[in-house]
Parts: sequence; structure tokens; C-alpha cells
Amino acid sequence: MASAEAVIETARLTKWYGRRRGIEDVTFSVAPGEIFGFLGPNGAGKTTTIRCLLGFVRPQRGSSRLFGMPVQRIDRARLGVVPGELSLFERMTGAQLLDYLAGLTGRRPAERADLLARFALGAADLAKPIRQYSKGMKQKLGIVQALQHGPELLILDEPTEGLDPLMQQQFYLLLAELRARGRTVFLSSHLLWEVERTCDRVAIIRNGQLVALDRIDTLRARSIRRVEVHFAEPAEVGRFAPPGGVVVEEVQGARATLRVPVPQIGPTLAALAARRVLDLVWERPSLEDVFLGFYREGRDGR
Amino acid sequence: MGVELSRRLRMGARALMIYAATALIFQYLIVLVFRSVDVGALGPMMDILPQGVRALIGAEVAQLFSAPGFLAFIFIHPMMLVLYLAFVIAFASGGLAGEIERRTIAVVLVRPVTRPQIVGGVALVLLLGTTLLMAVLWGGTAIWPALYGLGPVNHTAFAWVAGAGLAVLWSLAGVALLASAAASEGGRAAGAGVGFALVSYLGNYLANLSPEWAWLRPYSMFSYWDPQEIIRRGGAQWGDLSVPLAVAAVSMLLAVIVFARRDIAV
Repeated sequence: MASAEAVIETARLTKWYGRRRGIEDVTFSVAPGEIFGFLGPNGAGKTTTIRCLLGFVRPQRGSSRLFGMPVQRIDRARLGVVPGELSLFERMTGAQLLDYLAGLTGRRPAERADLLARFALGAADLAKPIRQYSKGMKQKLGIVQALQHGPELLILDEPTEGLDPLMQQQFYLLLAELRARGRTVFLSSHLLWEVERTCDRVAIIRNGQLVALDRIDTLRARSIRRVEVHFAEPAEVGRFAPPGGVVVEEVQGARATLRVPVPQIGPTLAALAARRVLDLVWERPSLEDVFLGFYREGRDGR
Repeated sequence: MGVELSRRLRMGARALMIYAATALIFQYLIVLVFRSVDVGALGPMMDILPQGVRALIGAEVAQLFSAPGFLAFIFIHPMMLVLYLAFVIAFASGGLAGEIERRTIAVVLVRPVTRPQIVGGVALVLLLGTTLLMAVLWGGTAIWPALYGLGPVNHTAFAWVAGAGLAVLWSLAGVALLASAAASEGGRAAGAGVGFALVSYLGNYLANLSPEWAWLRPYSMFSYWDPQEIIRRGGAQWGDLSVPLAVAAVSMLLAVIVFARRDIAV
């Protein structure tokens, strides 16, 4: 992607907290209108990356740009952010908070009414102090404050944390609409299915370093295939000689489950053709398989 | 900036009203005490006080036998000092470090507000709040003598007392703000602010207690605020005001620089 087009662009972003590594050499870009997933377990470096993007912390090395400019120079009214572990001013009422944050942004909160209706936040809820809100209500208010002024770029850190399934559905519908309206979304999550469902591209971060960055379909295509083979008899399993790189994951009687890297598909089929096979089931890999594949590699590699 | 300042003002307003009312009520109670005692009998009593207590009360103990001297003493009564410090430390430490600790600052930092503006908002409320506290006490020095016939009071001299007090409070506020700008927990920032004030107070106390410790005087902010001496002279010396004002200006400027450059890991 040409850098001039990117809404978010990082180059070799590196941040250490003392002797502890936060992130190292994180490089990616997000195109306008794209929903970009940023995936990794807790502590992998997702929040540190977001802190660097938003200018909360200064990287020791590398750079990040939003809308083609360093974050310090952009008009922050173009941003909508749901921070991770969201914390709001507890003494304010919901309405006061939304007014205050809209005032700080300096843009009319044109989308507030629609968002409040979507997330079932009524006038009575907004009149209450935030300290009386449940976790789910706070999260809904967090989403409304981020979106009420119609930002061009949304940076969302675990945005569905604490939302009930109904509200999560509402949120995913909203993301689809935002995509249709050309908004750009950076979605950080540890929920694989959430990213798989909503994102166009995904970056996977492990121990502070990006281990994958591609379209979800491409990652799936490259990932290891799980194949369940039903041999004619248990003895056939023992006679089957898997090609190099193919792992026999599980054997139960005449059934064997194999993990086959894409380049080994042909040799595996050839090896299976030499045996008596009754059935063969190739599973379509999910993002979870891809993700676990990367994490398994990391663990094995240590 | 206006929206942020208005939030800060609203946050501080209620607490400040309580502090101001408490200060005024305390001043009133002390005035009642002054009216109820036989001032003439206080002299011998004061003479037998140990030097440690006399150092605590102030340089010119004899001034306590007059209404202006007594009113001046109220400004530096330990209860009043605790009251000023409670406002300054609580607001400064809660305004930056406290918001980082609670993580509420995240939703502000992602909006078109610069970090210097955030520090500026807290500093402005601190300056306004301490000004209000001193103005209330100065007002009291005009109201109570008029109500109870305590004799003529030099309002200009008391304005200087309040002004010198303001300079000292601003210096304490500046250091507390600097601690808050550098810390990520309200408790730590408050601890640093209280620590500076206590060391400063102790330095002045020791300097008053014994000539051996007199060298500490220039380093203590409290040594630049002697209300009874100001009343005796009829005004403050610019030299006394300039040191705390310089400390206030430098520490607030440093707070802006530190907060603008630091990592805020929220």
C-alpha cells in the first residue's frame, strides 16, 4: 500500500518499559475504509501499540503517523477512541460526560441520538451518575462518546468487553455500517471470532512482535490444514509414513488426525494414496487455527 | 481549553467552598477566643512558654496582645496551614497523577486538548482557589473587627499578609503540581507535595528555634511569610515575595514541561 493513502502507518515502532519489552519493530499500515484487526493475547503488546499510535507514550525507535502526520500534529477531532480498561469520570452523569467530551472535541455530536437508541441508553440512564452504571452500561457509554462526533478513524481497544451478546451484535452491525460509510477502524481484540467476523485484515502480535499481517483469507490459505483420515483398518495407520513436516496429531483406532503444511498437501495425498483410505475430511482453518498455529510456533521455538 | 477549565473549576468549586467556609468559621472562633480572654493576663503566660512553642506561634509573640497581631497569627495557625495544604495537595495530586491512576485522562488526551493546556487548567484552578482562600481570610480581618469593635485594622497591611501568603501557597502548589505531573499515582504525588511542605515548615520552625539552625531560613517557603512582622511594618517586602513567586513560576513551568514529555501509560 502506498504510504500516502494510509490512515495509520507505523514503521519499526519499538517501545521498552525499562528492561521489559513492550513492542519491537512493529510495522503496518491501515488503508482508508478498512477494518483492521489487531490480535494477540493479553500482554502481547496490543495496548502498547495503541499508546504509541495515540502519542500517550514515546517509542524509543520507529515512528507512527495518522492521516499522514505525526499524531501530535493531527486534528484529534478526527479520532474516536474506546480505550482499553475504559474508565470514565464517575461523578458525572452520562449526559454530562457526553456533553463534556463533545465540547472538548469541538464537533457537534450529530450521531449521539442514533447511538443512544442503538445501545438502549435512555434519558433516565443518562441522568444517573456514572458510578451507578454497570460495567456493560459504562462500555456502551464509552462507545457512544467515541462515535458521537462522527470521527473518520476509530481506534478501539477491546470495545465489546462487558457488553451482553445482544449489544455485541449491535456493535458488529454498527461496524459494518461504518465500513459502508468509508470510516476506518483499528480494532484491537483478543477475541478471535470477533476479529474473524468483522475485520478485512489482521495483524497478529506475539511477545511484542508482529508474527502475521495479511488478509484473513490469505492467512487461512497459508495456515496448516487439519485432516482427519479414516483408514480401512488400524494397522494401516502404522503403515502410513507421513511426509516431512506433517504431524500425526491424534490416533484413535483406524482414525488419524494430521496437521499438514500447505506445501506438503501433494506429498501427503500421494502417501495416503498408497494406503487403503475409507474417508478423508479436510477442515477449513479458522482464524483460531491460524492464531494458535503462530502461538504454537512461538512456544515450540523457545 | 474552556471546556476543560470549566470541568476543573466545577470539580474544585464544591471543595473550595467548604475550605473557604471552614477558614472563615475558624477565624471567627479565634476572634471569639480573643474577645473572651483577658489580654493583659496573657503576657506573663507567654513569657513562661518554652522556646519551642514560641517558635511555633511566630516571631513576635508580643504582637498577640493586639487585635491586629492576633488576626495576623490566625493566617499561620497550624489548623489554617493544614486547610490550605489540604486544598493545594488534594487538587494538584488528583488533577494529573490521580487522573492517570484512575485512567480517566485517556478520554481527554485523545481529544484536541494539549498536555500543557491540561496542566494549565489545573494550575489555574490552584491559583484561583488559593486566591479565594486568602481573599476570604482578608475579608474576615475586615468583618470581625468591625462587628466586634476590635479597634482599627490596617487593611492594606492585611492585604500584604494575604499577598505574601498567596505567594507561599503558590510555591507549594507549584511543587505539588510538579510532583503530580511526574507521578502516575495520586498517593505518591500527594506524598511528595506533603513532604516538601513539611520539610519547609520544619526548616522554618528550627530556624526560629535556635540560631544554630538559622541557615535553614532561606530554604523554607514559610520563612517568607511572617504575618505579624508584616503588620508591624505595615507591609511586606518585595524580596520576601520574590522567592516564593520564583519557586512557583519555575515549578509550574517544569510541571508543564515534564507532563508534556512524559509517557502516560493508560
